[in-house]
Amino acid sequence: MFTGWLIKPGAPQWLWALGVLGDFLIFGSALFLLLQLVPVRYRKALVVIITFLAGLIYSVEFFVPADPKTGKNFLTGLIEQVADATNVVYAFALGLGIYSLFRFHGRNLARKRSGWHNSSAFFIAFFAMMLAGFWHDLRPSAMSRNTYNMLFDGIVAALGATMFSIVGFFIVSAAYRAFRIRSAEATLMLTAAFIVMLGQVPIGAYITSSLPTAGLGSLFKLENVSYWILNEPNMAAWRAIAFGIEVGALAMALRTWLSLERGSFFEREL
Amino acid sequence: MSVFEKLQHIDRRVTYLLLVAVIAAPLIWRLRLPIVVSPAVRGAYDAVESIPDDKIAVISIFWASGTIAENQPQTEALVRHMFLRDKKFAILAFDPQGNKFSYDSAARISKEMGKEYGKDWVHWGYRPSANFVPLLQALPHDVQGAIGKDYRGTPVAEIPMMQGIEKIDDIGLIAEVTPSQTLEVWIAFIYGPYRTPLIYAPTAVMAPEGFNPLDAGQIEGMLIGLKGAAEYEHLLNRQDFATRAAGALSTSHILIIALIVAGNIGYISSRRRRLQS
Repeated sequence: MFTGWLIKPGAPQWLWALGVLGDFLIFGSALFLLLQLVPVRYRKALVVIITFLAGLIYSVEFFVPADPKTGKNFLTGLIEQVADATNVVYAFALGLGIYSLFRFHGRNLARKRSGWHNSSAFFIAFFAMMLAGFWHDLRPSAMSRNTYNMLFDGIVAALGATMFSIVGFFIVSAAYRAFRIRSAEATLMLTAAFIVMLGQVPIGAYITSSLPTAGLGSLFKLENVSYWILNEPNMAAWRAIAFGIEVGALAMALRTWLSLERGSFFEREL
Repeated sequence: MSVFEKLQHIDRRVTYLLLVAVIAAPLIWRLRLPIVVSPAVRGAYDAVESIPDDKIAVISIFWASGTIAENQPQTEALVRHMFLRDKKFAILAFDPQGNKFSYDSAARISKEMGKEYGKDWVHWGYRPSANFVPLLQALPHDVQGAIGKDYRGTPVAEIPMMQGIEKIDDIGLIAEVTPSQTLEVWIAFIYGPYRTPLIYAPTAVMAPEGFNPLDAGQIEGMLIGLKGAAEYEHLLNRQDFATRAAGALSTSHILIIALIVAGNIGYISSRRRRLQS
């Protein structure tokens, strides 16, 4: 907002960063104070009205037919601005998340609670990545790029991939313990699972590679049986599940939009 | 404890060690197995082949480091194919990590294949996933306005490749590379009203959801996880990471099946002995 008026194009990036931070603090504080000025009994109503109007814009824009010449209706132009506003709200959520992490880990460190060294790892990681990111953006050089890439590719990416890969070990262990043929249904599911598991990897094709590639025999090739299971029975089941999910999601969306949902926010005094 | 009971209670640390061994071995000593191209992958390949010369493709990136093993080979196979056929494309990332990964991948392949940024490809940069729907609503009417600046901070209107790319009609294909349920948003806001061809490259665990739109003709094709990427590499006559890793995938699936079979042999035998006694 003010950043755009006060800082001219071509200004150094650090000035822009400061401007955005200033905007964030000024407008955040102003909005918070404004909300505090509203009498308590009206605060919830205010949030309900804003939620309803925000949802209404998207719904009406989607359902009102567009002008065939421009492909737009009277609300299409607003969508981008509403999206910007949504991003601002998300930015506040990011700030809140950082504040919450600092508070939690800061207390752990200050009181030397058990596992306090994990909290110090959080602060080291947070500041290292933040400083490397700003350095890379504001003073680009071979060294800043290498430092940023080393932290991003060598640590962030590797840790992310490792975290997800660990799931693989649990899946193996869980599958081994849980898949028992206790009933006809379990046997059927296990058979289908084996076929799909083999059909989804090249070894499945290798096992039935002696079968002909065309004609009746080809139907029994593992990759073809697997594809059939995914494309026919799986699809039918998934359609039914998806239908249920979508109806549920619609109901949930309506409840949230109309502020009928019950939860911590709706049952607390603001 | 009898042998049958032992089969039911193999220590989890043993299963972990076995998994490490069966994944590492084919990556160290390459395991060559036949790769059969599925109709879904063939459909995706054909869709890329038939992008009109006056249109660009868009590769949407929703993945991060967690699914890099599956989604990066898919992205790279698509990028390589488009470079091979001189199809111009733009990458659009909805994940901050995927933003950098996809840029680095495309930049590396571009350099390797002698392609030029801004002329043959462009990276539209990162947009928060919260902005996904509003962006998809704005994109069809004004591509350059909705995107604004590219990965490098250059206004897209100044990029040579983007000249004449104004509306959704100028986009010939959208490829969604994702570990999440994001395809339906593309279908609702892009395929539904404008019939822009879509292809879907999900992680293997998300693939069952892709068969419905595939059957309905809403997507042209699908790359199912790492195996889909390996099949795509096979169509490109290449043996990159996905082809090499497909061997490890095979052995890990065989291990899981073997463990389940062993557990069930133990279970059935123990039950029989219990009934007899």
